[in-house]
Amino acid sequence: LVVMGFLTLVLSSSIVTNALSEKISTIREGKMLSQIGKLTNLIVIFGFGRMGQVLAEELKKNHKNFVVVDLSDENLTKAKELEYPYVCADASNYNIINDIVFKNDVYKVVLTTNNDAINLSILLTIKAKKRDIGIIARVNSYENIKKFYIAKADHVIFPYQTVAEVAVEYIGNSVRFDTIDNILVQKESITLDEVSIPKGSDYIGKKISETVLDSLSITIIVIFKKGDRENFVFNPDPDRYRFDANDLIIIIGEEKDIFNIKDEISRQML
Amino acid sequence: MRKIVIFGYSKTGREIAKLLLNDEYDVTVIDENPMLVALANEEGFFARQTTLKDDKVLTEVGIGDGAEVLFCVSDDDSLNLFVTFSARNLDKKIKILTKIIKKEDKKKMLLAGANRTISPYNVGAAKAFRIIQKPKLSRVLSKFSALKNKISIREVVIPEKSFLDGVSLNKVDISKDTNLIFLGLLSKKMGEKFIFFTKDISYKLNAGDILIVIGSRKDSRIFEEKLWK
Repeated sequence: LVVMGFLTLVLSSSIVTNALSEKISTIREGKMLSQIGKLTNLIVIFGFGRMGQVLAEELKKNHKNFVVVDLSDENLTKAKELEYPYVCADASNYNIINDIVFKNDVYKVVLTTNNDAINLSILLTIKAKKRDIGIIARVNSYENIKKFYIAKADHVIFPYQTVAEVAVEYIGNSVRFDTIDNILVQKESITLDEVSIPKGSDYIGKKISETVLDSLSITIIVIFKKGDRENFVFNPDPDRYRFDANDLIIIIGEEKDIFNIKDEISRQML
Repeated sequence: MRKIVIFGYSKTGREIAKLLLNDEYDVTVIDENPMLVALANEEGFFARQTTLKDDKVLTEVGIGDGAEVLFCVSDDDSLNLFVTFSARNLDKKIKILTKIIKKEDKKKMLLAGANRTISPYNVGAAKAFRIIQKPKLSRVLSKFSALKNKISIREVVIPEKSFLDGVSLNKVDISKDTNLIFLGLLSKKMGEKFIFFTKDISYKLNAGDILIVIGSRKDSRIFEEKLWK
């Protein structure tokens, strides 16, 4: 009788504990969803594996609002440790996407899981209802890249190809110019950026050598004249090229120098 | 032809191999997995299966005997480490580029003898971040690359006794008479540290330093020929 009583006690207490922990997790999810609801310009990251983690780190550094969605305990423990907002959920479930994406002020979704079927399913669910949300999708198999474009992904990242381009540049092979950004990723504070010369800027009509661009440690790679993507000047001569309204300048340099240039231009417009 | 060895016909290995499929490179693929070896063969590469229990296979594929670069890019971190270490012991000069999965493994790989490490997840995440942060730029760059007169990036090694060997950057205008942009260099004596070219830079160039140049293929070739004269 004593044994039976003891067993009943153990059993019932474990039922209570289980129910309680389930209740707690529901409360936590609810609390998290209401927290997310308060955020604006939200980025949703589906998948918190390696790629998701590195991305979240960058977004955090740059003060962007984001939330992580994953189902794996191991990944979520990491999100919890780093104090990132997260939701433990099955991303292929419509209700989850509805609660997290459609009900909030989401402007970008990044799909980083290592499962192309899951990524595609989330992509289609979102695009079917809200086409204006920009979606960046990781694709894990070369053969699937096309499918993601057909499904209207705004950007498709096949990490293995991107990393291969960086790798072959290393051995002196020429690589396409747009990989430059991937190469620069490895070089810390140097970055590639774009600067537009708006109408009314003091730069208009001036030579490069007559502006602050010439005194800072930056390199102008190319200028798209009046923003026209077909009409560009590669490696412009600072003593000859004169800026025009709407010129789009692609520059490489220290982040702080680029920031200063943008800052100066925006102050000219005040 | 430059001899290149790829260890691991993983997704990364496969993409690297594809980019090197031309007359300039003699690519050999080695892998433990017979299925991947078969796939590499099917896709036009000389590939062989190996268990890597001894260094014999590495020697046979040219490590220490003519191979210029080794890419250690299998999906197994510990195997990559093992092959990096073995290859470095066989050849002090070979360039080794090793894939890492976790950031924490970078130091270990460099210690084992890799010249550089790469991570698909870091590069992929960085790319996603840039699309979020600078949406216009990504579009412009891909458009720019698709144009006819292709602009590309190249790493150019300064040969011994060339006109740049021993020259101070503030004493010479290296971009004179070329339509190339000199972005920076990887310094040999500083362990291939990247140095961005600024106006007042006073770095003394040495043989073995690697210049990073941007320009048309033709212009980069002309410049390289000038260096070798």
